Amino acid sequence: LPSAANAPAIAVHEPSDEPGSASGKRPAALADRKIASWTDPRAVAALANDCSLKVTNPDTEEPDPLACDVPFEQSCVYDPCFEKGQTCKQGCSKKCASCDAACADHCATCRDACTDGACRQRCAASCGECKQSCLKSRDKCATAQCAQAELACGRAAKRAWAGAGCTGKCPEINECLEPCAADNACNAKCQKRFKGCDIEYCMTGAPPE
Amino acid sequence: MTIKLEQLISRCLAEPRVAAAVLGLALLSFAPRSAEVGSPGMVRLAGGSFERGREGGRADESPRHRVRVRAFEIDATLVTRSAFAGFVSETGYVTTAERLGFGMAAHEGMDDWEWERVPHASWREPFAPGMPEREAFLADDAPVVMVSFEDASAYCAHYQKRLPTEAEWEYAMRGGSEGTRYPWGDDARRGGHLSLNFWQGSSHHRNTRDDGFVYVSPVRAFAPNDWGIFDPVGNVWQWTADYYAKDTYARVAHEGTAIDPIGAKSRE
Repeated sequence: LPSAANAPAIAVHEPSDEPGSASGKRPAALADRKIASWTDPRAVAALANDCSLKVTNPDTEEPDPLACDVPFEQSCVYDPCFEKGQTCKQGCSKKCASCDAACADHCATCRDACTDGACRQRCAASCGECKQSCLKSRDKCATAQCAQAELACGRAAKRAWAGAGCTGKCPEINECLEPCAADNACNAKCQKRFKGCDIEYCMTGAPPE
Repeated sequence: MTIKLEQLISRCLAEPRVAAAVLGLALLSFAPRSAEVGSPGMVRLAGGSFERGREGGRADESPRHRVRVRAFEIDATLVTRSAFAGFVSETGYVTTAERLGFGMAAHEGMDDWEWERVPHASWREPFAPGMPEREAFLADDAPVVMVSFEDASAYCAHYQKRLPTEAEWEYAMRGGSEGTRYPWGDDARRGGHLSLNFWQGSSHHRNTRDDGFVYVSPVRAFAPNDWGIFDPVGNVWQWTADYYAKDTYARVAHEGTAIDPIGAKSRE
């Protein structure tokens, strides 16, 4: 797991047997499974050592189950509503990161008051639940809330397109745009001629109609 | 109609033998609407054409255009949990969800379009222990779920098959129907009964269970289409071979009748 410089990645996979720690030996069944939750005993053991343990996605397409990051997706066709959805998802990721940091702060405060390993372990367990709840909220945000935002955007785009009389106009718009290439003035002239129609939609062939 | 959110699965397609392919091509000019018994568990379809897409719906499902496909065989049912277990047993295959350590799930009570990561959920156990209705996923004849595109492709390849293209899939699922919402007509009911497994209720907060199921149903729970293919609509989401692009229909519609069209050339 990639992690912040002060949070050794190995700690999550191989929790130390800190004196006083309640982690003990890992159950055999758990040892072979990837850590997929902050409430996993191995993650809790790692948090008992370091409240500020962070996980970020590696530079691959595969998401890490403990990371707040939401993979960024791109659309090859012009779709401002898809972009809106992506912006929304990145916002969810940021909120999750803030939530995660607050959990770590709370954990540190809790841990500072401890005098033994059992107490630190309790703080870590609480921290794990806190961090996992951040991920759950992130999931809801990045799915339900962002989907609703994207769908609402799509409905509005459809209404605006039809309301401005753009339905079925793409062949005409494209005919106007064809000689323009990278000539911005020419493109602007077309946009002016078809006022109210977002001509970008026609250039990629997927108007909201 | 809302379909259930938490499942993804596929059915596989096999290329016809050379003789069958020749026969299929020869029959194309007669636009046949026939299906025969194919390889075990499969239905052999002669090539033919159909109208794909609809106006006034989603932007990526228009314009309506004519599509022609060659002859092929396709699984009569969704891939079952039992069949997928056999594949895993034979190959030692590890699914994407198992590798990542989580699966995405949606269940009754959640908001519309809401999904959540479930640690260690996979095709073996899609719902965490204690979740209501989880047993439905565990039956041998339940469709296997939490299967990624890579998993579905690997499954098909192991049996010398492949995923159907979207065009092949829709041709097969329509079973000769054209212009109707369901393969049998525009009403979800046949003979007074719901003929597919889908979500009933105004939101995902509660399924009113009018079709008898909350989540998945056994792969032969409902009558097949006219070509003998089960679950042509409903039950689970099904993978096809194509990469998605919003403008695919618009692109191929310019070709007149599109012959064996495919989606985007890559996932980028």
